[in-house]
Amino acid sequence: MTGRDYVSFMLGGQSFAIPVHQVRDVLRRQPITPVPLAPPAIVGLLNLRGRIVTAIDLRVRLGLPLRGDQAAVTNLVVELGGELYALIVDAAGDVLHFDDAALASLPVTLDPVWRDMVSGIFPLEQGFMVILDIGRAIDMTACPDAA
Amino acid sequence: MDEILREFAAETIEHLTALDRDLVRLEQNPNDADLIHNSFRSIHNIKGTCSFLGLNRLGGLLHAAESVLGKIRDGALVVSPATIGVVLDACDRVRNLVGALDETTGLNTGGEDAELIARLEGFAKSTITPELARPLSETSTTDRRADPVSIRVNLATIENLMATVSELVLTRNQLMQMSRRDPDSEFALPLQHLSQLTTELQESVMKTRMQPIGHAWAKLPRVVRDLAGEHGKKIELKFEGAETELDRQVLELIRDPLTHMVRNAVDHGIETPEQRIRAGKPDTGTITLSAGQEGGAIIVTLSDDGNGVDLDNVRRAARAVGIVTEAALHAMNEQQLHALIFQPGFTTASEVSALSGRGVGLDVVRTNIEKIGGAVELSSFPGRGARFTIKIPLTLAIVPSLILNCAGQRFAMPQTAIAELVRARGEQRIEWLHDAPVMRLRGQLLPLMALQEVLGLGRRDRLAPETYVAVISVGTQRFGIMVDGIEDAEEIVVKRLSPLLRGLSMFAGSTILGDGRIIMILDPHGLAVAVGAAGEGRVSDHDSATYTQLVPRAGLLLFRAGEGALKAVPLESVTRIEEITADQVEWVGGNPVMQYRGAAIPLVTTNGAMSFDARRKRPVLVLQLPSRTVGLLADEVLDAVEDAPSIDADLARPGILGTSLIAGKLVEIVDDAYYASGHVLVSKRDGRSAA
Repeated sequence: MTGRDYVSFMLGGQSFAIPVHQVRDVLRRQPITPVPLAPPAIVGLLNLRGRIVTAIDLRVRLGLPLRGDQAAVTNLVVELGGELYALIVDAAGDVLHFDDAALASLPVTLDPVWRDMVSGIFPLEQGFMVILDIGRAIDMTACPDAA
Repeated sequence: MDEILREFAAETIEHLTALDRDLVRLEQNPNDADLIHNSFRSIHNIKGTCSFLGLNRLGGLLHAAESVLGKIRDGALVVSPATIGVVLDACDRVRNLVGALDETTGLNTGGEDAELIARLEGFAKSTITPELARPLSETSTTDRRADPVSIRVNLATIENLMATVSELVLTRNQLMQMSRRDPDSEFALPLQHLSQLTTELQESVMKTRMQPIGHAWAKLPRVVRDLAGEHGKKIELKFEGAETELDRQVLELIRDPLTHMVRNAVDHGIETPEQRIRAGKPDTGTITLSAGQEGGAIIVTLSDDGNGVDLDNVRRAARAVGIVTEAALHAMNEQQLHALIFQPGFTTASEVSALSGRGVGLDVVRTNIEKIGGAVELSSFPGRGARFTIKIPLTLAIVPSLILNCAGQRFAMPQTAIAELVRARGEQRIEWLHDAPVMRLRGQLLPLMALQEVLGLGRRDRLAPETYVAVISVGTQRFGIMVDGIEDAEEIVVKRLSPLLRGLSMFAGSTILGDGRIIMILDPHGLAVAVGAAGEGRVSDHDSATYTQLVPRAGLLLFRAGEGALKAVPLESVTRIEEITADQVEWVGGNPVMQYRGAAIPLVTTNGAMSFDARRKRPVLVLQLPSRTVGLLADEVLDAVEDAPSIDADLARPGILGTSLIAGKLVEIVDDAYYASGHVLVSKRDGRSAA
């Protein structure tokens, strides 16, 4: 059986997932040092055991309404090109297994911002599981409004 | 490439550099037996390795060069610039071939050595009569020293080790901070021990990165020899403190600036032998490079016994390239004129030589030195020489910084960029010129900028209860940044920003402080550009950004005094605007003076009329010039404007540099230096000036 394990998470009521092998750490809300003049999606820098991690709010990246200051959040720490990034999500869920064969193509009507960052969707009994392309989600040069 | 070949290439280049140095020294001390033996042995060893590796072309070249040195050793050939020259040529050829070897896997690149070998053989075959051959002296200038036991370690390994140790230091700092909260913890003692070991480890690793500064000097004797020959000059290069150690990375970064400065000294500093003899100096000029440690910094000085810096020449050159206005040039003291030499585009060379005088020069040197947190200064002794003093940090891995508070956040500022810290109050309060905040600091108007506004953290309240000003000095630019508070100094390990943030020019990096919090490190150069840009309103392209960063911002203060055209005076010489009434004017020996900060300063006018309407106040521009302070009586102060684009000298007269068109009006530019010279006196009776 060809399939992969994914870490699922929630953002604005929608289920998302990223491949489990890309996730280095799952952290609760961390003290974050803001970076003035940075693109809006970059919330700041946090300290993960002596390494500096750049925190990115996926709600901003995906154009979802912003959450309140005190809302509970989870950081999914991923590594890209030797650098650590913390993807800030509403809540992390279970590790799920999906069969590659079940992958559905993206509807043409999907928001272009999402189309750019989503690598595929798995239809569930209720709703969809959206697979996020981490490289696209982090690489803000591809996103015109943050350049 | 084969590992053995790579090793061979690295070693050979090293040996050739040493050989270069020995040969140049041999040329100066032709009878030094040790130098001859050393050179012979080096070339013999390189030849041996080449033959072993089957590099026959190199072997052939080196064999011919060895024969020449062999003849010298046997006393059958005298050391002369010609003999040394041909051996140096052979070294260069070998160096080039080995360099090519480094890039391609192929052994021999194109080119023919026959001609060079023939020249070498020509020297080797020529003999001299025995009585001409001088006996080799027994005394030696070479210190005989056994090589220390050492191994070669890959640079990446050391860098990696250094990075890991830096992390370890940070982790240690965090642990120590935690342990301070609970001094009775059982961890306290072992932690103390761990801390000590970490410090020792850090010092040892730092030491592996240290290299004697002499490594950066190795190529200089050759550079000076060749360049002096080209210019027909006689120059001796002396070294002092070559064993002074500094970080490898710093060493690499100062290598080129130093070479450039030595070239500059050969080119512009030392005179020709004829000129020197006429000036009553020995025909051979001396350039001395010395290094030593002073606290956390290395001081390198480069001095020559040449002619010094000709200030008239500097003025002429500055005028020719138009980097400062005539008015600003006029008011400059010696130090300010020296600073011009470091401006982009500046050159005093009347003709372009192969190596200097292209206008690409000392500004690059200064920029490179400042990039690593260093500073360079020039002092000149007319007729006797010039001296450059370079101050560089021991290491770049750890940066002493000051923690600044701003809009509820903390930022680190490298201490090397901070000239001083001022608390804004009393004399040193913040004043506003239109909407530009400024501070008067020892006779200078310091442009200010709120850090929070530069960083987009909102407008700063003009009535903020407490303001501290960090005076930042970047190149010739000096400005103050306003912050809410200043915390401790910390030694920080700079970490690069993630690629997502590298476009932010305001930050040099980030770091983790002892308490585990991350802090952004400000980049003084980025701030300097922002300060310059704020004055400009915008930065249109790279050129103008560089311009605003490096050229002292000059402006003019527009005022009305007497009849006729409006007047303007350089803003930088106006330290204060006072208002006085007739009864505040005192007369000393027939000259009017006024009280200013507990002293009497002379009062001058542009037209000599010292008249007052009864009781009405008149503004006085207090001009602070290098020589003295004077009060210039005006009728009305109008505005501060950008510098005049050009000055038309047709209408110049004593005290007036000329006229300029500012905002559509003809304005007379006041020569402030004239009023400070003490020529202008106003007599009480006739109210006219007498020069």
